[in-house]
Amino acid sequence: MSTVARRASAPLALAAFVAAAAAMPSVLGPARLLSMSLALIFAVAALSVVVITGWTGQTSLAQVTFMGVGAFTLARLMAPRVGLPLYLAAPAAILAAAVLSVVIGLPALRLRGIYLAVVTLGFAQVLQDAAFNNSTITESQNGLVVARPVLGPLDLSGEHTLYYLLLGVLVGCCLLVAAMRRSSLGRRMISLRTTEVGASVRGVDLVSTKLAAFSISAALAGLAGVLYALEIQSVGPAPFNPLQSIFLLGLVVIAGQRSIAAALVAGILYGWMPPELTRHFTDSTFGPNATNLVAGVGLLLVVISREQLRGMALRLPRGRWPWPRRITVAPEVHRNVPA
Amino acid sequence: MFLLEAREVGVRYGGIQAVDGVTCGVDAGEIVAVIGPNGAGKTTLLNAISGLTPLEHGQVLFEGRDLAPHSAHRRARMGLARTLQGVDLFEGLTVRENLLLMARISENSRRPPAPPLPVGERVSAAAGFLGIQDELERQVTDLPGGRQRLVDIAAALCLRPRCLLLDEPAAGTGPAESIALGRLLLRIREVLGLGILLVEHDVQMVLDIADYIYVLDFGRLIAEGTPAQIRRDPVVISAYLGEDKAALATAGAAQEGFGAPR
Repeated sequence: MSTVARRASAPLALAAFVAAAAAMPSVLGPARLLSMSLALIFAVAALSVVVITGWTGQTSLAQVTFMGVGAFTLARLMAPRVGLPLYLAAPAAILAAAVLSVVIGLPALRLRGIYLAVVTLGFAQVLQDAAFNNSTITESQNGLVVARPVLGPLDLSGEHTLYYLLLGVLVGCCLLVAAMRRSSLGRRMISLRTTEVGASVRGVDLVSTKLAAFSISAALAGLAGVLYALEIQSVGPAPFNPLQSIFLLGLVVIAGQRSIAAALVAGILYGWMPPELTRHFTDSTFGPNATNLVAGVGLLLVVISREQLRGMALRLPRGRWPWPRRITVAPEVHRNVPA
Repeated sequence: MFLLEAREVGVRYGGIQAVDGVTCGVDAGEIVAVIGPNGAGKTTLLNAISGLTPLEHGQVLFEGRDLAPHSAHRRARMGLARTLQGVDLFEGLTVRENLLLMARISENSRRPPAPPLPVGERVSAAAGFLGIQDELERQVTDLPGGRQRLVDIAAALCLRPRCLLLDEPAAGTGPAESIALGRLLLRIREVLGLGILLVEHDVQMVLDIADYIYVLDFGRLIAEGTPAQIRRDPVVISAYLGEDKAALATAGAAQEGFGAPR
């Protein structure tokens, strides 16, 4: 695809998505509209995965947990005891997720790949057990109730009003992330994905770039949590189970992981797949695990095809510091070659 | 005073003394090469200079300043640009984005003198200098290896370096390509007046273009001098060929750059 076509196609695709999504409330019934709302919410969460994993190459398995941090913080702050209005509670909830991500990001700065994945998953489990499941912190084992407020001219208790708010927030996030991709910060993030050593000897500050990636992506996840709390009107620990992060990451990888479009596709998969599949598979042998099965098989297929692609690319001479790039003659041999 | 100077630099990896008391220097407008057999410690020396490997002892000075308190990315921003062994460009970015990233970083480094041109023009200038201006919009991974190498050097130049550290730029190139690369380095030296520290396996290219050569073996400096001196140095020849063959080879190897295996 030519550069011009590539540049024009992204906004067009986003516009088509927005148009299709905007038509949904008049087409879908309430149950289906809930699926679509969840798709929009999880598209925001998927954007956070695109930033941290797709661009920066950091495998974080705590993104849904950051969603939970946003949702619980919002619910606590809006509960009658504190009684903050939404326009104060939502930024505070997003900030809480971002700050927490820096706290976990600092010790994890030296980790990458599977090690970072394990650490973030451990963090997610700790937070699940110590906070989300802790009734003294979250107040109720059945979940906190979130009342949908009136926000200026918008009465969020109306399903359609809230739906369009979700869509608007998602579009805003997409535009923000697209702008970031074109900025120096976005290029610095992507530079880390290929070669951290190469980035550092070219003047990229690994610490500040990684922390920016962690906090921005956690803020997006926290925002998704805020939207989730408003949509479901009740916040409990179950939706923020650490395993959900693995599921979300898998969906983003299947969808292509590096583009905004991938996040939109992953959001749709997340929002639509469970009810659709569970309906078809409830009586089958797979039962409710069918979603995981389908996602797992899809992920395997993507990873296998990627590995084959990378296998072909490997035939080009390339290497990663500190491994030698080419097969060199061993010193002993080197010394004994006759002139 | 040298532009870049390593004084008695030592690096130890566990039980292995990879670099042992090496002193070397590069001046502005000078191509200095470090050669030596495999495992001699050439890349380790470069890593120590660019801040990827901690020093066991010694110090590295750049423009008279001790680099010890500065991390790798700070050194790059101070004007010490580096390429890695093999081409290591940022995948997922176009050639232009790779160069823009470097140009933008150099602008943020608040290092005098102020950049004369806006970043976009500096990127175009660097691309023009390296002859890659037609490939600016391509993904770096789509380019053949030789072109990627040029992008790599262009990216380093976009950092507005005062000194360029190149780790085996001629690795994997054919004879014609390595001659072109040698010419390019000479042109960078002439036009931009940079100091260039070159670690290289291609002994013939080094003998052709370097102003001064250091020879490492087992982490120690075994010889230094102009290409003419190095060509005749019996210690160097024996390090490359083994002592028994050295005497035999001295005469013939002198013209052939030791006939070093490639």
